[in-house]
Amino acid sequence: MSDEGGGVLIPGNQSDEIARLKAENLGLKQRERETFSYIRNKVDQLLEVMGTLPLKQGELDDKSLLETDPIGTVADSFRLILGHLHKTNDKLRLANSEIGAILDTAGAGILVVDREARVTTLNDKATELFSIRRDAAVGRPCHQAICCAGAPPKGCVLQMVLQDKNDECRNEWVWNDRHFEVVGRPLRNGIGDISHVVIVYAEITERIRYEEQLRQALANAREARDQVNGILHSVADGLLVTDLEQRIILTNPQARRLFGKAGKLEGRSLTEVIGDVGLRRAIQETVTSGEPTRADFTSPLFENSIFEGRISLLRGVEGDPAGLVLIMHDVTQERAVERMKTEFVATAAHEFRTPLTTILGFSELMLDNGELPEEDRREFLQLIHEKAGALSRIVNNLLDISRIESGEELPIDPHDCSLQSILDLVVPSYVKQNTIHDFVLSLPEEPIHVCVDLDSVVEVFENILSNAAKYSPDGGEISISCRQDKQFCSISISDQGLGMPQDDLERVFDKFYRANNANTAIRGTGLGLTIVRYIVEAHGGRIWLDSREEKGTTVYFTLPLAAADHPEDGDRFVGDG
Amino acid sequence: MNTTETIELDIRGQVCPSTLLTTLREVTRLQEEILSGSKQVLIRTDNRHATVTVPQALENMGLEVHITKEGGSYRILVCAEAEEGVPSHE
Repeated sequence: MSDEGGGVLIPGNQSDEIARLKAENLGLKQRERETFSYIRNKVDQLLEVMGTLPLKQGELDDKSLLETDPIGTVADSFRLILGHLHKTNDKLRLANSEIGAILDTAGAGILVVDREARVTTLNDKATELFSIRRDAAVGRPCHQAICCAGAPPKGCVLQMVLQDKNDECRNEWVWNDRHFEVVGRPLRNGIGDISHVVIVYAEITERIRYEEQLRQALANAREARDQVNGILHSVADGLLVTDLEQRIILTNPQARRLFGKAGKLEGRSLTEVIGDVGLRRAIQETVTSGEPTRADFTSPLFENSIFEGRISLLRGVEGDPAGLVLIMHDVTQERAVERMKTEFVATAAHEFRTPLTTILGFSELMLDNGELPEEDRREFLQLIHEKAGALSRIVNNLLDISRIESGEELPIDPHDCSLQSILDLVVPSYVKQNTIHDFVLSLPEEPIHVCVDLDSVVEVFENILSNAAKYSPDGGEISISCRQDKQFCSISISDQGLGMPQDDLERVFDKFYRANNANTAIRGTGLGLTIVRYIVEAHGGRIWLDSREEKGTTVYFTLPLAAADHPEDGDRFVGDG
Repeated sequence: MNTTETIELDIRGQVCPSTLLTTLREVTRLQEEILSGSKQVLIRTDNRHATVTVPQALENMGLEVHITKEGGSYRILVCAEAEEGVPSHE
């Protein structure tokens, strides 16, 4: 078919169809454009969600767009992202459970607050510690909920964290008499700013109390140690402690002096330090038997001294042996007294036996011979009487000593009397008995009156004169001189006898003491000068000695003068002897 | 000791969003191997914008991304996220 101009003539119904198809084609193309536009929009929307740029115009033609399948690619990516989100959510749920469990079981109070100090979370321990309900705390500023203050208090850990933007710790915070250690730690958001702060309250009240107790215990221990050290330094005895290996672990200054070591003895062996064989043997005996022992020993550094070492086991807390304790005591005096006592017993036995022999012998003679001449009988009785008197004096001396040592005073009954009258009572009898010695009496012209117990002072003179006579050689001079001082009369009695060493002078008044150079053949109990001293001192006087070996001894003593306003009392005794 | 195969993806010359889409398609294709740790993907790109978009998208998937500059381009290494205490596959 063609039209009149020679072209193809298209019937009218056909051209309508073509027009319809063209229109339809245009519509389809329009929809296709709209569809691709929609797809591109959605792709751009998805790309924006993915955080990237939209598709550029002309970057992909429609065919390439379909082939590239960006929607499918993004969808697959979303699937992966969603999967990861699920896992992340699971982890978050687990983490939440863990945090919840930690908060509930934590021994410390834990508080989470936001930047405005509002409490967002607190654990059970915090509600218990601060006696606050959870719903009463959450949402309120922590300085109100916990510190009960209108504003954050000084030293607030939250404020410190917000200011310094770091972890902060306050070593001691006191709340209602309870002590806490407070730690604050910031929690940061995605861009690193502090969004919350975790505050942990660890109660340290008990720890503070224990620390105080510990401090007190340490102070007590130091005090006890100082006391022990003080005691160790103060005791007169030497103390030495060893371990089980007999290595010295403790000494006091006295022990160090005794062994002549100013330096440390600690750490050295006991056998290295102690040279005395007897002491070492005693130590070994204690080690072997476990029983305490003692032994006397001497030290080269203290030539005239005797020490007693007492050794015993050192016991540990459980009672098991832990070492040795050696206590060293200076027993020089004790040993001397023991020696003197022994000598006294022998001397006293002799002193008693001699008069007793006389008494027994003559009394027996009188009993066996009933018809003795009167003159003999009288002479024998006189001898018995004299010896019984000597025995009585010894016994009286012993009783006096015993009485004085038990704290009683000598029975002194002082009266005024002239010194001459006392000498008259004593000296003539000595002159008569001792014809081998020369007695020289030197008295001032003016009579001297003293206030004394006559019998006691007679005993003083007799004792001193007796010693002078006993220890003086034949023909030796015994001189008595007196002079009057302000309140006392000074008397001196000198002999030309053995004298005594200087060391004995201080001890000559000790009971039982007899000078080291004393002739043991010369009788004496060692009590005479002791009694003399007691009597003189009981009168308020003094007594002392001056002596030189082989030259003689002078005994000085003082007696109180009679009161000046009673001269007549003193005259009463003149000539009594 | 397990060895990890590295798949290289050179997308130098491409710009966003093409770089991201190409990476996402490759990573989703190899997701199982990457997550198991048998494979990792090394992307070479010279598009600086990709150093932001690619790591952000991949980290949201739970993958680990390490970026290093190499001359005029960037190396973006994609691997499975290391477990706690286990070193990464790089």
